[in-house]
Amino acid sequence: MGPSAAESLAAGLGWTLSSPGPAIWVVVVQAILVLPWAFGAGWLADDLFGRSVEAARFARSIDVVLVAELFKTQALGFHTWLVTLAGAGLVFVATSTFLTGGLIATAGAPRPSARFFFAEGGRALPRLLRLLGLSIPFFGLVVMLPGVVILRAADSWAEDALSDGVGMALRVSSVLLVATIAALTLAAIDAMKIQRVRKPDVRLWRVFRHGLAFAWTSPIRTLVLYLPYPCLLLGLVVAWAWVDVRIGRSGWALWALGLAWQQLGAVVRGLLRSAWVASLVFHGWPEGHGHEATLDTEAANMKSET
Amino acid sequence: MIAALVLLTVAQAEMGETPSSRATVELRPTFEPPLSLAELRGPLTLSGAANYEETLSYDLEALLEPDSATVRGRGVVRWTNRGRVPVRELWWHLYLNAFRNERSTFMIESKGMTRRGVRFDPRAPGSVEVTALSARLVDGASAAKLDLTNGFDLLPARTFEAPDDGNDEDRTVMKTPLPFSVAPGQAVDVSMSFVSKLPKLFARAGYVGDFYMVAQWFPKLGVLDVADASGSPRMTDGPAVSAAGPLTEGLEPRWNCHQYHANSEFFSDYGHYRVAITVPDDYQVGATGARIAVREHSDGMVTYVHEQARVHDFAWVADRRCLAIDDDFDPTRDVDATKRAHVAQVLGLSPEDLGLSPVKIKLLIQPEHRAYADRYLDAARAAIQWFGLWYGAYPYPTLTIVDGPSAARAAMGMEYPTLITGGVTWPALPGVGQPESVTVHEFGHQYWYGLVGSNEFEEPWLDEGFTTFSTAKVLAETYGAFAWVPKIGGVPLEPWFGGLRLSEEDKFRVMALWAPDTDAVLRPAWLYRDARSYTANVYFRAALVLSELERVLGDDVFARAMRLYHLRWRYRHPSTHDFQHALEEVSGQSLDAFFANAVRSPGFVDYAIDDLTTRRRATRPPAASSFSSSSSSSSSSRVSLFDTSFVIERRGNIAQAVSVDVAFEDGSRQSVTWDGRYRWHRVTLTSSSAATSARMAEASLSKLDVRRVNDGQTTEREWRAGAAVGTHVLAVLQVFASLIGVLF
Ligand SMILES: [Zn+2]
Repeated sequence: MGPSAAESLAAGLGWTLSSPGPAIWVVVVQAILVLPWAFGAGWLADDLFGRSVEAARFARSIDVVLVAELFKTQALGFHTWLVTLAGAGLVFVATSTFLTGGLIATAGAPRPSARFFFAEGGRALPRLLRLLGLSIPFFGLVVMLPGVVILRAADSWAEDALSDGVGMALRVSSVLLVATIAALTLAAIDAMKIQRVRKPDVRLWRVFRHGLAFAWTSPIRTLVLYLPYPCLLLGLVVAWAWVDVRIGRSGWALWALGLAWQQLGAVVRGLLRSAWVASLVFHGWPEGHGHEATLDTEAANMKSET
Repeated sequence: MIAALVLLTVAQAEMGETPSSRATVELRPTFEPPLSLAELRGPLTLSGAANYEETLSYDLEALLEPDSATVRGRGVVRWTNRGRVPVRELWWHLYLNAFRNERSTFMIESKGMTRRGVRFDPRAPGSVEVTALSARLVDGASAAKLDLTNGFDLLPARTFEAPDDGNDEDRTVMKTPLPFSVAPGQAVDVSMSFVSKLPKLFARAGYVGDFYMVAQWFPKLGVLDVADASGSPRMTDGPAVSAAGPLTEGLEPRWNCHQYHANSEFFSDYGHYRVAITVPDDYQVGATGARIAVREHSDGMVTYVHEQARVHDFAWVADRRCLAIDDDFDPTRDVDATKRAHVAQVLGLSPEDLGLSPVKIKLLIQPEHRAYADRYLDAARAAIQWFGLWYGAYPYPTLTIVDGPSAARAAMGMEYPTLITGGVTWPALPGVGQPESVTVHEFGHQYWYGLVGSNEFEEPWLDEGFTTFSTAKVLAETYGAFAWVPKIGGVPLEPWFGGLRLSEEDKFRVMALWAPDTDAVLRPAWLYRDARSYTANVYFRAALVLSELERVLGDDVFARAMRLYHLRWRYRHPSTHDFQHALEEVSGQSLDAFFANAVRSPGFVDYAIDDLTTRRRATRPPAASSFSSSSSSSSSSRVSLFDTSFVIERRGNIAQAVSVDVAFEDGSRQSVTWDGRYRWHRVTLTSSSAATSARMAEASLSKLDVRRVNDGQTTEREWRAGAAVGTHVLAVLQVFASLIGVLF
């Protein structure tokens, strides 16, 4: 038997705290990536109302009335943002894949160097991108499609529910159900990523089957191992936003405080992500315990069929 | 159900023993002392309440059959010709027919979906079928006993009309020619039987579970346009849209009877309603008017008799699940003396002139909403107080508030005479305005729709705009600003965004921005470009029009004019002209231009400041000074002059005089005025200090100028705004990146 879920979670955190390098590099690369958009938005805002008498009020806090006015009168339509974000999204995906490769490759290594992190990320990138070609349609088929069906059905039942309690219960349970399916699928995909990076010579199709078997043969164990970090991550994002919207930006000192708070949030998120990946790696994926034989047999069977 | 109908007849016969006039007298609304406004300056006279002539009386029986969602009805309607010419036809609203199929005008306009996102279920349609209809003249003033067999059958000659859009498939308006003519002052009794099939609830009336919202359920007469003293037909104010046939010259009687539209459904005459409602005895019933009798039957049914004078509609609700809470508005307890004194002062009246009447409040509330009962009741009491103080006492003895299950939300937020539906969904945290604002809004309709019977089809702003405006005032007085709470999947993000509080006026502005110039504030409800333009103009730009009138005329003049308009037009059908006349009468000034630009045409106000520069003029040292100019003393003896220049632009199509405040570095200010007519106007100033900003003066800033970002400029760029936006976007994208990282 490998380590328990709790041991793995703790080991992931322990390694991240002793070797925070990869987490920091993830945050730095992400920040560099989004900076042009942030500058662009700032310049656009400055151009639109930098000389308006309303600008000072806007600097104090987000003013929904002004935001609405800008969107309605300056042709900053929803679609403009959609296109911009979709373009950004593609770059984010490629970069995220690269960074995930680096995180998986360095997890467990004592004080990995930046050079090692980036080199391993680069080496793993093509293999992970090929996995994406399989995992994205898979995710769509297993999570997105049923997710939409489940959520819509629950929504229409909830709308017909005669009491708020029943409606709320229906909605919440449908969200939990879809989240569970998503978590199990993402766990499988993460297992595939880990094997893709750590066992470069295993073929893609076998990696895929392997990931599925590990995540889905024991769903409870998978959830216990997989869910604590993302829940913590989401909770922290909410708590962080709660504070962030309360920091006014009316003076340079407050502005700097806000920026520092934002970057602190980013670093904590980076550390959590690193601890999360490391805990999965430590748990023994894809080295597994006992399923490999079955899978090998299956793979052999498939080979003989072809 | 036949047995039950027999029972109903018995109940009716027993009721006949009590003199109906006695009950009627008690139920007459109580009126504020007349002519209290005569004390205001100007020739203000009140005629509204004194002039009331009853046009209608309905005496109906209704039997609810829950299993088939059917209401079987019958009864007698007496209609009196208040016009100046004989009438030979009657026009009726048969509005449940809007839900017969997907080809009715309502369905085409609404695309089978209401604003709350509920869809029409074609397997559970609705309809009203008139199974018997016969008429006979009432001789003189005597109320001849009705004889069903001797009346003239109206059904063979009846036709369905589509005066608004010619839609042959629409059966919401019925015309019945009469075999005799009804002379002015004469009355006709029409006896009828009908079967109303309620649709599965998706738009206001219908059923869901054990909840039955019974509205627009009986054949309801249209409104005869009554000729005024000059003999010309009295018309409402909208563009010349044919309501029921072309607007002909002379004395042709004309019925104002519109089809049921997605956006509008209310216009009918005032009358006396008595309705006996029979339901299974485990149902709670709420209905228009006061309950004057209850009769239990041996077969598990019960009959509630409701009666109300001077209303123009009758709606009821039956629900098996809800709780009934009885409460009241007691003027001696619920009116704040200082507030009353203040309103009296603004109106130029004495506090004693602002007496209010007690009101019995019945709240029918879902069990899981019990915790919100006090919030409903407090909001209702606040509304009864404020509307009463400002516009005149609520004259009816009852108010029924209905809170339906969440599946019935398409029936929530509706107004009927003395009966309103609220609406709240769990979790409704305090401070977010639910159910308070819907309660106050729907109560507000008791004034702007109920007591003042403007035409919701042709001039919807007189209903919704006035209600939105006065509701905002009540909410501001009672609650301050509510928090704007974004929701995700129905879950409010409060308390995280609790800091975002919008005043009601800010809310008007945001909503008005959605359609600032697509349509006019005054336009027939079904002719708006789309639902968004209807909502933006009829509710919110209309409310801004009233705010602007208040700003221009002053609080006291405006308050008096609103009260005059309300009291003068109680129980009658005023138009936008009548409102304008009330304003002009009190203020003594013509508002033709304002109404033409801001109300009758899609005009909007937008003034902007642009190209603001301030430059030090090249100055020469004073003659007494020597050539050396390096010392500080020489610079202080110099006179610096600054040239400041900016352009005021008129970007909207409504022109009005504006004034601009220019602020200078030394703290001084200068004011510039412009008639605002041409497209732009360049201002140049010379001053001893550099200008820092130029902005529209608050006092001259039109409430209709909803675009505020361009209302003023600073000479110095405010970098903090761009920096704040930049860092906010940075933070959001970083969060986005770290969440994407989880997936890829
Ligand atoms: Zn309304």
